[in-house]
Amino acid sequence: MKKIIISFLLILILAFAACANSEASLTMQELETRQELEKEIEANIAAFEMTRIVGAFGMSSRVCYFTVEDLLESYWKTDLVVIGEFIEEAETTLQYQYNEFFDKEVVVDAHANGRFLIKEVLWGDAKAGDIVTIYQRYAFDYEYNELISFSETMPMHKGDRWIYFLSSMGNNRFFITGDSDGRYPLPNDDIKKVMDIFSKESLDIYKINSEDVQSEKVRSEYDNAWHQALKKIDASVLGVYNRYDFNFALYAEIIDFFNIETRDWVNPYQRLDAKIISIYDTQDQ
Amino acid sequence: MKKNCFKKLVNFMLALVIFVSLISAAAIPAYACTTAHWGGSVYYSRTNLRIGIAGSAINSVLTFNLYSGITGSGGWNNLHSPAKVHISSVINLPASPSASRDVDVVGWGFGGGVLGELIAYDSMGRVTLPTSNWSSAVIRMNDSVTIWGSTASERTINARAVFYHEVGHLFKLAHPVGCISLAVMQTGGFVGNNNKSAYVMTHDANNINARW
Repeated sequence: MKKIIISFLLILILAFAACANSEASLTMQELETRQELEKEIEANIAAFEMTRIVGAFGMSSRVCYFTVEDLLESYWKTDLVVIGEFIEEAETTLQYQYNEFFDKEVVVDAHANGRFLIKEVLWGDAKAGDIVTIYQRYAFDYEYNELISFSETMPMHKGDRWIYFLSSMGNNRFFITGDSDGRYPLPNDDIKKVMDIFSKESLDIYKINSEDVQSEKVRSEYDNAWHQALKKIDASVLGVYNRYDFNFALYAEIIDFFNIETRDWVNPYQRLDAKIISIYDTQDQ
Repeated sequence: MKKNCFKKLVNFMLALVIFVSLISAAAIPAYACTTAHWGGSVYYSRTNLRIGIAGSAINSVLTFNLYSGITGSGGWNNLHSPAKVHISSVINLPASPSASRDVDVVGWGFGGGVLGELIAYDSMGRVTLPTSNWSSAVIRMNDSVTIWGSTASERTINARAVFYHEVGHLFKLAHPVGCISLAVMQTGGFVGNNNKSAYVMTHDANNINARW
């Protein structure tokens, strides 16, 4: 009996030590900000109980990117690759236009602008401490309690940190290069565990953007690993509504290319995002 | 008695294992190329679809001829017999503004990387999901003449593929997932990007067949 009690106490001590350690890398100021955010998030999660998610994010044509080189140089060129944090909730607006069929104004577009504090510059002409505006196509319709999104990426929340590939729209405003191909979570231990499912060979071969019969076997290996990885991770961690919009091979290459270290960081709004995804998953399907 | 009970327990466990295996197999999502389509109803006659091209969607790249070519070979007509989908007319709205049609194509100044898009509305006129019942829809094409490619022929090929792709969405086709077949419904913006084809391919036809 004594042994059981001692073992139990030991496990408890270890668990507490692990929890304490995970907070250790945050500064006091970051910790306070995070605690304040927690209160906001609780309120926002409650507000989302009644919310519906609608959008055209499965019905658009955009360029797909498969390599870092493509992202930086092809099609819409990337002007900035940065790591940073949203310093406030994004401002969103809906665009209406008269529709003859319904004989009333209907929503035709949605715009969100989020102020993003750059913490690290990986590519392009910017410096840590700069604030840029990031544009995404979504907005909240408060009349009907809906989130309307034309973008595959989840909303921009205060306190959330991301790796961004950004293309300039002028006036210090940027859109995400390739939508969900251009925004990635900071690699933490949980994400790293999922990434470890992929072999180097399978990741490499998937960069080839063509039908190559010889690579079929490795492609199939990549697809299997991809399906395994998707089972182990929540889409809210990846920042997309639909986990199939996340390119693990490209993510692995980005981490490698820019030598981005694993961080002890979890986005504070992940719980709200998970809630949004669960609403999206269960409605109208 | 005890032996009998043990036998029953073993049998029960075996049955449980088989049952769980079957359930897990059924629960594995289908990634096959033939299932890339959405549910929900459409508001138009899919074998008599009339597409109106608004003046805002016509420019030096997005010509009326580029749109009207969708009724010819390489488009969505004549894929099956009898036809499962058929575009009966493409109407030049600046010339015939009051013509009856089911869906309009309009030009749009997208802020950020989008080439074309379909928006669907429910019966109340609210934007709705791809999987829902649709009461109205509009196709939007990027109205920039410079984004479609570096040469005239590239621009035509890419713009046409995006238009055919959006009409594919109108027929409730989704982007293929985990599928490397050439298809006009592949996510890629430009022809060749992510195996996106210039015209409607067998994979697209199979999905129409599976959906309708």
